[in-house]
Amino acid sequence: MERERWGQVERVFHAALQVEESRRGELVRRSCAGDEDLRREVESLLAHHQNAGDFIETPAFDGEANTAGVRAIPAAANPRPDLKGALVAHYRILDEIGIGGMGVVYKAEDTKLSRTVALKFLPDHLAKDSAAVERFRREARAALRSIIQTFAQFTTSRSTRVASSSPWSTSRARLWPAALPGER
Amino acid sequence: MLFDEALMVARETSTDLVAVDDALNRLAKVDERKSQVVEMRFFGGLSVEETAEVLKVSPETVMRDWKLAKAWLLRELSGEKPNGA
Repeated sequence: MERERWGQVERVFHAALQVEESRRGELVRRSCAGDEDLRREVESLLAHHQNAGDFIETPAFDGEANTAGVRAIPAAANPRPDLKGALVAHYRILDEIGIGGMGVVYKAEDTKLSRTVALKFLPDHLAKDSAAVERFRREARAALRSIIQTFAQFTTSRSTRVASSSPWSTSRARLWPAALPGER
Repeated sequence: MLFDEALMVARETSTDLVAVDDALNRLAKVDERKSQVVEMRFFGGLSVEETAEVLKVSPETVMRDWKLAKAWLLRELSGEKPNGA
Protein backbone atom coordinates (compact mmCIF):
# COMPACT_ATOMS: atom_id res chain seq x y z
CA MET A 1 0.00 0.00 0.00
CA GLU A 2 1.30 3.44 -0.79
CA ARG A 3 2.35 5.55 2.12
CA GLU A 4 -0.12 8.31 1.33
CA ARG A 5 -2.99 5.84 1.07
CA TRP A 6 -2.07 4.21 4.35
CA GLY A 7 -2.00 7.67 5.94
CA GLN A 8 -5.58 8.25 4.77
CA VAL A 9 -6.67 4.91 6.18
CA GLU A 10 -5.04 5.75 9.47
CA ARG A 11 -6.62 9.19 9.74
CA VAL A 12 -10.15 7.99 9.05
CA PHE A 13 -9.72 4.94 11.31
CA HIS A 14 -8.72 7.08 14.29
CA ALA A 15 -11.30 9.75 13.55
CA ALA A 16 -13.96 7.05 13.60
CA LEU A 17 -12.77 5.79 16.97
CA GLN A 18 -13.23 9.27 18.39
CA VAL A 19 -16.99 9.16 17.89
CA GLU A 20 -19.65 6.90 19.29
CA GLU A 21 -20.06 3.56 17.60
CA SER A 22 -23.48 4.45 16.23
CA ARG A 23 -22.03 7.44 14.38
CA ARG A 24 -18.96 5.76 12.94
CA GLY A 25 -20.51 4.57 9.71
CA GLU A 26 -21.66 8.05 8.87
CA LEU A 27 -18.33 9.60 9.76
CA VAL A 28 -16.43 7.10 7.64
CA ARG A 29 -18.74 7.65 4.67
CA ARG A 30 -18.31 11.39 4.91
CA SER A 31 -14.55 11.23 5.44
CA CYS A 32 -14.05 8.94 2.48
CA ALA A 33 -16.05 11.24 0.20
CA GLY A 34 -17.06 8.63 -2.31
CA ASP A 35 -13.78 6.72 -2.24
CA GLU A 36 -15.32 3.26 -1.83
CA ASP A 37 -12.01 1.39 -1.59
CA LEU A 38 -10.94 3.60 1.26
CA ARG A 39 -14.30 3.20 2.99
CA ARG A 40 -14.20 -0.60 2.75
CA GLU A 41 -10.64 -0.73 4.02
CA VAL A 42 -11.38 1.44 7.04
CA GLU A 43 -14.63 -0.39 7.85
CA SER A 44 -12.86 -3.73 7.62
CA LEU A 45 -10.20 -2.55 10.07
CA LEU A 46 -12.82 -1.05 12.38
CA ALA A 47 -14.70 -4.35 12.42
CA HIS A 48 -11.53 -6.20 13.41
CA HIS A 49 -10.80 -3.54 16.00
CA GLN A 50 -14.20 -4.28 17.56
CA ASN A 51 -13.37 -7.97 17.72
CA ALA A 52 -9.77 -7.59 18.85
CA GLY A 53 -10.49 -8.02 22.58
CA ASP A 54 -7.44 -9.42 24.36
CA PHE A 55 -5.65 -10.34 21.15
CA ILE A 56 -1.86 -9.97 21.74
CA GLU A 57 -2.54 -7.96 24.90
CA THR A 58 -0.55 -10.41 27.00
CA PRO A 59 3.14 -10.49 26.07
CA ALA A 60 4.19 -13.71 24.37
CA PHE A 61 7.18 -14.26 26.59
CA ASP A 62 7.11 -13.38 30.21
CA GLY A 63 10.58 -13.12 31.65
CA GLU A 64 9.46 -12.84 35.25
CA ALA A 65 7.04 -15.71 35.47
CA ASN A 66 8.27 -17.65 32.57
CA THR A 67 7.36 -21.10 33.73
CA ALA A 68 3.80 -20.16 34.65
CA GLY A 69 2.41 -21.58 31.46
CA VAL A 70 4.44 -24.74 31.37
CA ARG A 71 2.39 -27.73 32.25
CA ALA A 72 3.67 -30.04 34.88
CA ILE A 73 4.64 -33.39 33.45
CA PRO A 74 2.67 -36.32 34.84
CA ALA A 75 5.15 -39.06 35.68
CA ALA A 76 3.06 -41.73 34.02
CA ALA A 77 3.04 -39.87 30.73
CA ASN A 78 6.77 -39.53 30.75
CA PRO A 79 8.31 -42.37 28.80
CA ARG A 80 11.26 -40.29 27.66
CA PRO A 81 14.72 -41.41 28.60
CA ASP A 82 16.10 -39.55 31.57
CA LEU A 83 18.49 -37.03 30.07
CA LYS A 84 19.58 -35.55 33.36
CA GLY A 85 23.33 -35.08 33.31
CA ALA A 86 23.61 -35.82 29.59
CA LEU A 87 25.77 -33.60 27.42
CA VAL A 88 24.11 -32.32 24.24
CA ALA A 89 26.61 -30.36 22.17
CA HIS A 90 28.11 -28.14 24.88
CA TYR A 91 24.96 -28.06 26.97
CA ARG A 92 24.64 -30.19 30.07
CA ILE A 93 21.06 -31.16 30.83
CA LEU A 94 20.16 -30.27 34.40
CA ASP A 95 16.47 -30.80 34.70
CA GLU A 96 13.24 -31.16 32.83
CA ILE A 97 11.27 -27.92 33.08
CA GLY A 98 8.13 -28.94 31.29
CA ILE A 99 6.34 -29.46 28.06
CA GLY A 100 5.96 -26.42 25.85
CA GLY A 101 3.73 -26.13 22.85
CA MET A 102 5.44 -28.78 20.79
CA GLY A 103 8.29 -30.32 22.66
CA VAL A 104 10.08 -30.89 25.90
CA VAL A 105 11.98 -28.11 27.60
CA TYR A 106 15.04 -28.83 29.70
CA LYS A 107 17.02 -26.58 31.94
CA ALA A 108 20.63 -26.90 30.87
CA GLU A 109 24.03 -25.43 31.54
CA ASP A 110 25.88 -23.79 28.71
CA THR A 111 29.33 -25.13 29.54
CA LYS A 112 31.10 -22.67 27.27
CA LEU A 113 29.50 -19.51 28.65
CA SER A 114 28.69 -20.80 32.13
CA ARG A 115 25.08 -19.77 32.08
CA THR A 116 21.75 -21.44 32.33
CA VAL A 117 19.72 -21.93 29.20
CA ALA A 118 16.55 -23.67 28.18
CA LEU A 119 16.75 -26.34 25.53
CA LYS A 120 13.65 -27.36 23.74
CA PHE A 121 13.56 -30.67 21.94
CA LEU A 122 11.19 -31.70 19.25
CA PRO A 123 9.60 -35.03 20.17
CA ASP A 124 10.90 -38.03 18.20
CA HIS A 125 7.62 -38.69 16.48
CA LEU A 126 7.59 -35.14 15.11
CA ALA A 127 11.26 -35.04 14.14
CA LYS A 128 10.45 -36.94 10.95
CA ASP A 129 7.62 -34.59 10.10
CA SER A 130 9.12 -31.87 7.92
CA ALA A 131 6.21 -29.49 8.57
CA ALA A 132 6.71 -29.89 12.31
CA VAL A 133 10.45 -29.34 11.95
CA GLU A 134 9.85 -26.22 9.91
CA ARG A 135 7.38 -24.96 12.48
CA PHE A 136 9.84 -25.68 15.26
CA ARG A 137 12.49 -23.66 13.45
CA ARG A 138 10.11 -20.74 13.00
CA GLU A 139 9.01 -20.89 16.60
CA ALA A 140 12.66 -20.55 17.62
CA ARG A 141 12.96 -17.53 15.35
CA ALA A 142 9.91 -15.95 16.96
CA ALA A 143 11.48 -16.46 20.38
CA LEU A 144 14.75 -15.04 19.09
CA ARG A 145 12.89 -11.97 17.87
CA SER A 146 11.85 -11.27 21.42
CA ILE A 147 15.39 -11.49 22.71
CA ILE A 148 16.95 -9.40 19.99
CA GLN A 149 14.19 -6.86 20.42
CA THR A 150 14.71 -6.63 24.14
CA PHE A 151 18.44 -6.30 23.65
CA ALA A 152 18.04 -3.58 21.03
CA GLN A 153 15.78 -1.72 23.39
CA PHE A 154 18.34 -2.08 26.14
CA THR A 155 21.15 -0.61 24.08
CA THR A 156 18.91 2.28 23.02
CA SER A 157 17.84 3.08 26.54
CA ARG A 158 20.98 2.29 28.43
CA SER A 159 21.39 5.81 29.79
CA THR A 160 17.76 5.99 30.84
CA ARG A 161 18.06 2.72 32.62
CA VAL A 162 21.11 3.78 34.54
CA ALA A 163 19.64 7.15 35.39
CA SER A 164 16.38 5.95 36.85
CA SER A 165 15.56 3.08 39.09
CA SER A 166 12.41 2.17 37.20
CA PRO A 167 11.04 0.68 35.09
CA TRP A 168 14.20 -0.79 33.69
CA SER A 169 16.14 -1.86 36.68
CA THR A 170 15.72 -5.15 38.40
CA SER A 171 13.20 -7.34 36.68
CA ARG A 172 14.35 -6.69 33.15
CA ALA A 173 18.00 -6.71 34.01
CA ARG A 174 17.81 -10.47 34.21
CA LEU A 175 16.53 -10.59 30.69
CA TRP A 176 19.88 -9.68 29.19
CA PRO A 177 22.42 -12.37 28.82
CA ALA A 178 26.10 -11.64 28.55
CA ALA A 179 26.13 -12.89 25.01
CA LEU A 180 23.29 -12.94 22.57
CA PRO A 181 22.65 -15.44 19.88
CA GLY A 182 23.26 -13.73 16.57
CA GLU A 183 20.55 -13.77 13.97
CA ARG A 184 21.68 -15.41 10.83
CA MET B 1 14.34 -17.78 37.41
CA LEU B 2 17.07 -16.88 34.97
CA PHE B 3 16.48 -15.20 31.69
CA ASP B 4 17.58 -18.08 29.57
CA GLU B 5 14.94 -20.35 30.90
CA ALA B 6 12.37 -18.11 29.33
CA LEU B 7 13.96 -18.50 25.95
CA MET B 8 11.77 -21.19 24.55
CA VAL B 9 9.08 -21.37 27.16
CA ALA B 10 6.20 -19.42 25.80
CA ARG B 11 3.26 -18.76 28.03
CA GLU B 12 0.31 -20.96 27.27
CA THR B 13 -1.62 -18.83 24.88
CA SER B 14 -4.29 -19.16 22.30
CA THR B 15 -2.27 -16.90 20.02
CA ASP B 16 -0.30 -18.59 17.28
CA LEU B 17 3.11 -17.01 17.76
CA VAL B 18 4.48 -18.13 14.43
CA ALA B 19 1.50 -16.69 12.59
CA VAL B 20 1.82 -13.39 14.46
CA ASP B 21 5.53 -13.31 13.68
CA ASP B 22 4.85 -13.84 9.98
CA ALA B 23 2.07 -11.25 9.91
CA LEU B 24 4.33 -8.81 11.71
CA ASN B 25 6.89 -9.12 8.95
CA ARG B 26 4.17 -8.20 6.47
CA LEU B 27 3.06 -5.26 8.61
CA ALA B 28 6.63 -3.97 8.64
CA LYS B 29 6.38 -3.51 4.88
CA VAL B 30 3.23 -1.40 5.29
CA ASP B 31 4.23 0.52 8.39
CA GLU B 32 7.56 -0.13 10.03
CA ARG B 33 6.86 1.72 13.25
CA LYS B 34 3.60 -0.08 13.93
CA SER B 35 5.35 -3.40 13.55
CA GLN B 36 7.99 -2.21 16.01
CA VAL B 37 5.31 -1.21 18.50
CA VAL B 38 3.82 -4.71 18.36
CA GLU B 39 7.25 -6.29 18.47
CA MET B 40 8.21 -4.38 21.60
CA ARG B 41 4.92 -4.79 23.39
CA PHE B 42 3.97 -8.33 22.42
CA PHE B 43 7.33 -10.00 21.84
CA GLY B 44 9.38 -7.75 24.09
CA GLY B 45 6.88 -7.30 26.93
CA LEU B 46 7.42 -3.54 27.13
CA SER B 47 4.76 -1.21 28.49
CA VAL B 48 3.24 1.60 26.45
CA GLU B 49 5.50 4.12 28.19
CA GLU B 50 8.63 2.04 27.66
CA THR B 51 7.80 1.56 24.00
CA ALA B 52 7.21 5.29 23.59
CA GLU B 53 10.56 6.03 25.14
CA VAL B 54 12.44 3.66 22.87
CA LEU B 55 10.70 4.86 19.71
CA LYS B 56 10.91 8.49 20.79
CA VAL B 57 7.20 9.13 20.26
CA SER B 58 4.44 9.94 22.72
CA PRO B 59 2.55 7.22 24.60
CA GLU B 60 -0.57 8.44 22.78
CA THR B 61 1.08 7.70 19.45
CA VAL B 62 2.05 4.25 20.68
CA MET B 63 -1.57 3.58 21.63
CA ARG B 64 -2.84 4.78 18.26
CA ASP B 65 -0.30 2.60 16.47
CA TRP B 66 -1.18 -0.31 18.73
CA LYS B 67 -4.92 -0.10 18.00
CA LEU B 68 -4.51 0.02 14.26
CA ALA B 69 -1.78 -2.62 14.25
CA LYS B 70 -3.95 -4.99 16.30
CA ALA B 71 -6.87 -4.62 13.91
CA TRP B 72 -4.57 -5.07 10.91
CA LEU B 73 -2.86 -8.15 12.36
CA LEU B 74 -6.13 -9.72 13.42
CA ARG B 75 -7.43 -9.33 9.89
CA GLU B 76 -4.25 -10.88 8.51
CA LEU B 77 -4.63 -13.86 10.86
CA SER B 78 -8.29 -14.23 10.01
CA GLY B 79 -7.26 -14.82 6.41
CA GLU B 80 -9.53 -12.09 5.17
CA LYS B 81 -8.14 -10.20 2.22
CA PRO B 82 -7.49 -6.53 2.66
CA ASN B 83 -9.30 -4.76 -0.10
CA GLY B 84 -6.09 -3.40 -1.56
CA ALA B 85 -6.78 0.21 -0.78
